[in-house]
Amino acid sequence: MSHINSYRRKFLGGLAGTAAVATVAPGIFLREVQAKPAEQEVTDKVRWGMLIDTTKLTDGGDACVEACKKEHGWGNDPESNVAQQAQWIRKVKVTEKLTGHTTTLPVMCQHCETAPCVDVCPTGASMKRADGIVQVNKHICIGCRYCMMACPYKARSFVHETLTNQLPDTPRGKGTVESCNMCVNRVDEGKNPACVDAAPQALLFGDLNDPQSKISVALKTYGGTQIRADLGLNTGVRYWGI
Amino acid sequence: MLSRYSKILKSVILSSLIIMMGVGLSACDSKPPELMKAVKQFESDEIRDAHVKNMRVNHMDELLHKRDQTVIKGIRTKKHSLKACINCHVPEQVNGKELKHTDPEHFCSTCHGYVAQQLDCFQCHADRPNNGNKVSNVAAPTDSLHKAVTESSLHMAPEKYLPSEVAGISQELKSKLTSQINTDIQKASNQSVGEQ
Amino acid sequence: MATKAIFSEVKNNGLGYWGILGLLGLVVLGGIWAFSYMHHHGHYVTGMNNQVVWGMPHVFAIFLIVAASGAANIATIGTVFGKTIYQPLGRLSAFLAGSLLVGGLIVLLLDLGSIGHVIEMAKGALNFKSIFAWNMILYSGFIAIIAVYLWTMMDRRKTAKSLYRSVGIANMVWRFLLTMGTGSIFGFLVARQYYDAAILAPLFIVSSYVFGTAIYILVLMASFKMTGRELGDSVLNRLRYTLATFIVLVLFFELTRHLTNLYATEHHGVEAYILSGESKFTSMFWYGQILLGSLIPLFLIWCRFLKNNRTVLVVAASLSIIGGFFQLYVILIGGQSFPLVLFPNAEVSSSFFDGVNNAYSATLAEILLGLGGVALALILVVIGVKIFRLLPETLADINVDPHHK
Repeated sequence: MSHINSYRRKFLGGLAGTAAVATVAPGIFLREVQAKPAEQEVTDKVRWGMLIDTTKLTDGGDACVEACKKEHGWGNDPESNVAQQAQWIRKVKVTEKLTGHTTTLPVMCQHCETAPCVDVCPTGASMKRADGIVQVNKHICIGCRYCMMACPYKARSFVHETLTNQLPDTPRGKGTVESCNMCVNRVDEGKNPACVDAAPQALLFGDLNDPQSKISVALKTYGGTQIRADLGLNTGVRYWGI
Repeated sequence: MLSRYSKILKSVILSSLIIMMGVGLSACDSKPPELMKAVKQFESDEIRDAHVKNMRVNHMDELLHKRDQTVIKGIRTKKHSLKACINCHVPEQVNGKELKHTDPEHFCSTCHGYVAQQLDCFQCHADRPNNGNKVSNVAAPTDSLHKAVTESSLHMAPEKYLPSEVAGISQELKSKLTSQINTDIQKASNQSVGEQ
Repeated sequence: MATKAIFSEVKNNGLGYWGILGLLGLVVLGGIWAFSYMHHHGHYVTGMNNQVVWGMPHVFAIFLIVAASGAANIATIGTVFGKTIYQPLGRLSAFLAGSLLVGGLIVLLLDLGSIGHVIEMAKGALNFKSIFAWNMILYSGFIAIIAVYLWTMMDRRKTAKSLYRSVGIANMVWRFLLTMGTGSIFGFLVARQYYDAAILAPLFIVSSYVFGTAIYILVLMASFKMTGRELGDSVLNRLRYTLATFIVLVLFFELTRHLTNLYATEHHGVEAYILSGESKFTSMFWYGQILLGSLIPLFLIWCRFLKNNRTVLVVAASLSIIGGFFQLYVILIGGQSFPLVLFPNAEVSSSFFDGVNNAYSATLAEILLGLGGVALALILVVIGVKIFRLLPETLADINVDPHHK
């Protein structure tokens, strides 16, 4: 009898200890990105999103652009002219005409909840994963470019030439459309997108469906701007300072 | 009369066709071409043989199935992943030279060239491990978040948007962050004054 | 009373027939070359880019597809609205429609970045929320309906005759959907300032009547002249005034479209760019589409001194085709040339051509690909009139017009 009691006491004590740890110091250990088991399907319980504080981007987003290039290997299309070369993310300078107020911000795929590119794609190659990441399934992309016509953010590029030396985690090729995929390969491994890690002081990545996540708390407290909110696309990428 | 002749003619043509096909087939080398050895060795010969037997016939279907699983559902197990195939079957270097899918010795190209079957994967996919690129050294997520909380001037001071007991940051660090943000603001306002 | 029309194949076997076929064949060869060149190198050899993503091939393709729907309209007038004078024109009308559609679709298909992946669509990769996917069904269905329609017109059996009218109505409804679908490709694009208007669907319908009627007039006149058949003024005048009516309708819809746009402040930028800017699109719109493509043909058709003048009719039809081409070029290329508005009331700049009026000029390959599609459509017609009884033996006034004296 007493033996069982002591066991029970130990067990309860252990639980309490765990709880204590969880409430005392989760800040540092709080992981926005949870690595899902590799064999598990993505679910709609999660919706990945990103918050970009433009006031904290000292370089206006150059580091993000460079990190994206390095991660996905774009920027190696020498035959194409400047207007034909792919850009997954770009630095946009905005000057308001009346006030002259200038902001720079990185613009890429905004990962809309109701994405126009997904609606118009005839084959379903332009797709939204259950967790809200919008990407191109290049296997069935016929290269009609209708999604590029439909995207309000000019987020997509068409590969105009034969590519070589693509990176193992980012297959890209001639005759298909491509864009920011929020680094699906990294997110599935529980990592942040490359741009977030390149500018951690200004970018925050996390689950918008989880009210406890840092990004949700930050957006709930201070709000966040969507580019072209008038279209009602409910974007996954939000901005501060624009 | 005529019909009998045509019958004879037909059978002659048919039999000669069959003979020709037989000759043609026997002229074909029945042995598949020599393939490059895989890097990984299986635990037992039986497992290896089962793998070889299955993949010889079904590799395209396995890859096709896995392709949709990965792209659409985000399932990233190594089994039947093209990247895992490449990492095992294509060496990083051969005689100091990187092997590309355009080289006939490339594991996939050897057979595909032999049976004259077009190989589309490598229009987009990497045809060799890491494609000769160094793995990028972007910081791990926990690192970057840690850095975000401790080192950099945040979008907002963490105590502003995180409940203090959740933030779990020491009082010392909090005051350090707050003062840093304040200096930032001071700096920024000084700058704009200077510009005017 | 009008006598029943007798149809016959084209009997020409001389240099004229084979010469035309050969010439068109050369143009098709040029198109094939253009395709293999673009396909081998990738789209960097074209003028299209990440800003202007659809270029000259799409102008040609959409022109042909829209014109196809319009060309079948002649048959519809005869079948559905019971105008007997149009009934002998029906067979050529339907066949021409099918040919133009095939030509346009081929151009559209051959411009795709990854044609090999089209096979995936046969395996079920179809997204029915996409207007494109709908159009694929509408286009292939149209060809099927045209085939049945031709059969009801050409077979003497009772079943064929009894189906004639209902198939004609089905064809008309289907054409309505088809052209609306083509217009909606642009009408549903919320992102672009110049599109995103439902009026593009009816605009495309009336435009289709102009393109189709004009092409029909030219094909009819050429084929009758070359085969030495008699073509009376009655038929031509009907077609002439039909064409004029449709041109006026297009002008009306264009006026409505631009006025609606001008009322909304958010569209002022793009309207100013197209209507009063210094770009080439402004002159294409005013001189190409409005003056050359609409007002001059209207004058040529309705000027009393030019009545029954066939050369003038050829000029008017040709001009309205050119005007239609300008119209589509301005809608397609002009609409894409104007930058997307990410931030209203702000100057925007980036390395990716934000806030810039995008330049586009077609390369030779693109033009050859487009012309190849036109030539293919015409080749089908030239072969069609030789193997099928599409052309009536005569369209002389006395045969077609019951009231002719």
